[in-house]
Amino acid sequence: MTAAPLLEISDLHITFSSRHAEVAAVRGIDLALEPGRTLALVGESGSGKSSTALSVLRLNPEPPATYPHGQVRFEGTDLLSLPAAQLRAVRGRDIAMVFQDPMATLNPLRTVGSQLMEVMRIHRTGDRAERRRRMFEALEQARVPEPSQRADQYPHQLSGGLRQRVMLAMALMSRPRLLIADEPTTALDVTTQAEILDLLRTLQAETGMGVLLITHDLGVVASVADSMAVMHDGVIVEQGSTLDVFERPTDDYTRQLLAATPRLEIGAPA
Amino acid sequence: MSTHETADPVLSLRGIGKTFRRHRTEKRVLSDIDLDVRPGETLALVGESGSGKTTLARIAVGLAEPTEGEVLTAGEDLRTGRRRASAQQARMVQMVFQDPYASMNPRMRIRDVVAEGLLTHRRSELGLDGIRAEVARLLDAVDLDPDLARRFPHECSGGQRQRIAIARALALEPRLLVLDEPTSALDVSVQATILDLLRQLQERTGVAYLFVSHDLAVVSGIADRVAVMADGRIAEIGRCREVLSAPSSEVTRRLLASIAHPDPRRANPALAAGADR
Amino acid sequence: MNATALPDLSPARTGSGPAGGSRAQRSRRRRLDLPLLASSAFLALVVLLALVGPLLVDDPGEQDLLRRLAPPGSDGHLLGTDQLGRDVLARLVVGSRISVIVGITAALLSGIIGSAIGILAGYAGGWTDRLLMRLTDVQLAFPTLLLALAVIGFVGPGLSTVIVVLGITGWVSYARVLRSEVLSLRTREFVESAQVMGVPAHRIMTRHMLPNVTGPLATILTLQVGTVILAEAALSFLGLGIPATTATWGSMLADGQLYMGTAWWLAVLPGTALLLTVLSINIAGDAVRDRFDPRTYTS
Repeated sequence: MTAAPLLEISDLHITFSSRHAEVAAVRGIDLALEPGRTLALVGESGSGKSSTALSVLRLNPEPPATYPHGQVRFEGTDLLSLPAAQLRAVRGRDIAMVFQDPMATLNPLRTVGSQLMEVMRIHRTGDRAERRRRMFEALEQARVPEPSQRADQYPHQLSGGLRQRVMLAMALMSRPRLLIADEPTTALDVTTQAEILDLLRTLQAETGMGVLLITHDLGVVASVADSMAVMHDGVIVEQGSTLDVFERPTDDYTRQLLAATPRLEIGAPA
Repeated sequence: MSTHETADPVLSLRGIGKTFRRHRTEKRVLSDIDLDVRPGETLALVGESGSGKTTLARIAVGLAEPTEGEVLTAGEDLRTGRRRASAQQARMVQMVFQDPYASMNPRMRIRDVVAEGLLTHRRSELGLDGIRAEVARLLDAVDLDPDLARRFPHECSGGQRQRIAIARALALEPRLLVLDEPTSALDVSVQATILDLLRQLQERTGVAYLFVSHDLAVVSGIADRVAVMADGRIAEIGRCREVLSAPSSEVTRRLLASIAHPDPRRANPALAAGADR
Repeated sequence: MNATALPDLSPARTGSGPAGGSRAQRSRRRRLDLPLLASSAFLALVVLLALVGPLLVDDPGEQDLLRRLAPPGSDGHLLGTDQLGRDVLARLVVGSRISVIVGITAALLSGIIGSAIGILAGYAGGWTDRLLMRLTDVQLAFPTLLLALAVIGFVGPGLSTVIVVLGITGWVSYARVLRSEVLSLRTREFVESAQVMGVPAHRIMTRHMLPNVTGPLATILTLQVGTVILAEAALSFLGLGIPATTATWGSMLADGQLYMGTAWWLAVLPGTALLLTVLSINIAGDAVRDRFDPRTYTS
């Protein structure tokens, strides 16, 4: 039995226009994500995967971005044609997003706690006491050690892994039904990456939210994704369950990508 | 790939320590580092951020001065105490940087980028015509179209730029090439071709590599020996195969356990188990 | 690897083949830049006038006391005559020559001095830097006018004196700005690469620092030309610059201010000439700066 898709992208086209050039970054893609599942969108730089992720919340700057065709349906509603006010209600509440570099998305001049509180204030969640409660709840959910101390710290005082946990807490506070994670572990050490990926798996099991994960790293895909879509030059060349795509790839580009991905060799080097 | 264990090491680091002093705070970044790179071998320096591997690489190449210890290049201490390498040093050790976008002067054409070292040190030997020919030969050796010579760096892709960086580094025929995460900023499909190129070049020229990386999978495919670093010290060093299959230090074990294998059955056993049901 | 939100709109792509604009440049659109067009045209006119103008007009020194203070449009005098009956148009044209010469040479002179000092201070650091920056402070502390007075009092007024004075007082902006540019450039990897390659410091400064500061350099240069032209006018206005017999826009302004009520054109015309010239220089300067950056130009 298949549940109704949480997120459904149909024939999406995204074009970027500048004075000198016009680039069709995404040239007609179809994606479906079910609730409680993780879908990984994999591709190299220039494949269009980030533009796709940003388009869900219409975060691509317009201009130069335009959407000449296609729909992005969240729980049945097309987000691309939603008026700004309604879109703002969806952003950060029903759909949350985490990015690659927390130092870029966190305000370095304010404590972590005040930024978390601010997010809820913007969404007018409860009163101050309620917000504080939710904040600590989220920090615990994100397995942030000593949350009361962390809340009073500034971003630069935290390690990369902790900052990413804070970002996840920020995303979780509003109890989103969909989390979009754009290269969430690319800037992290290997051991920290393993922790964060583990956390993502746990969070999904605990909250039942859907996760759209953008990455260039097949190892990350193998670690957390139920299904995956391989993107190249603006189109999806292959998609299916993670196991199927890894073990029985049908597309040449997918095969190339799999072959090129470094694997730990315990035998003698070539 | 042969390692001449009896010949003089290309690079010898003895008792290296480094402390950074800023205002009134001190940070101990490296302690008690003893390391040799043997002729023609690939020695990988592995560690997480903060392990000191990048600082050590910079000391090896002369961009940083150790607080204690000595750096011997082919048995001699060539340090000048200044940032700028001496002619002797430049012809022994060269570097390939991580970021192919930042490691090239955006205003210089590719042919000038590659020729710079030649003009500085081999001009009397080659003459201007000889330099031009050598630039073409180097670009060919890294599998680049000679037409690229008149372009600017921003007109080239990341993979091309890294090849140019390698060509530039090899222009002075160094015995040791220090590579600081040379493929981390590149797409996976390009990474593999660069690593292949590095292997070929080593076979042809016998140059040794000090290969800094955080990626054990990459390292396992290219290194003869590996030194695992943590907290400014070498936690473990030995033949790659041995260290990775039977690690003796906790650091190495933790690194190995954290690898995200591109294999769902290994990386996400719960998923695989569920699917097979 | 950076996850970028916007795709790379330049021809570079990751991949093994030579860079090509296959998917990229599908359409090229050009927007007509009117202010730039107008500025360039005006400057071209000024330069042209400076070069050949004096050959085409009547003797600017010719006095005709019977026809003094004739308004623009009078018989034989398109822009009127001044208090000594000299043709205003002729004087404007000759004055343009002075302005252009002084503007360009003085700005270039201070540019060369300032760049050298700034780049050297930024790259060398240490005592060299400290010494040079103290020098900058000293120069700044000296009011330009006072210095001009001193030099001119010593050497005597004249065209070369004005150029030298303005040249050696204007270098500070270049030095300061270029020094801070070089400070940030110095730690860039392409500089480190050159150091590892054993490239000597003077080559690094000329080959790696200088070409990468042409943006700010060009901007300051164009702003300085405007400033210098105005400074020359001020000096002439005060009688410290070029001797009053030669026509310069500044001295014309000085003379003209006495007649503002009765013969407005004597001050307004040179003033307008100054205004339009400096404005055009600034607008064109922005375009020059963009043109010199290979990244904004080639794509």
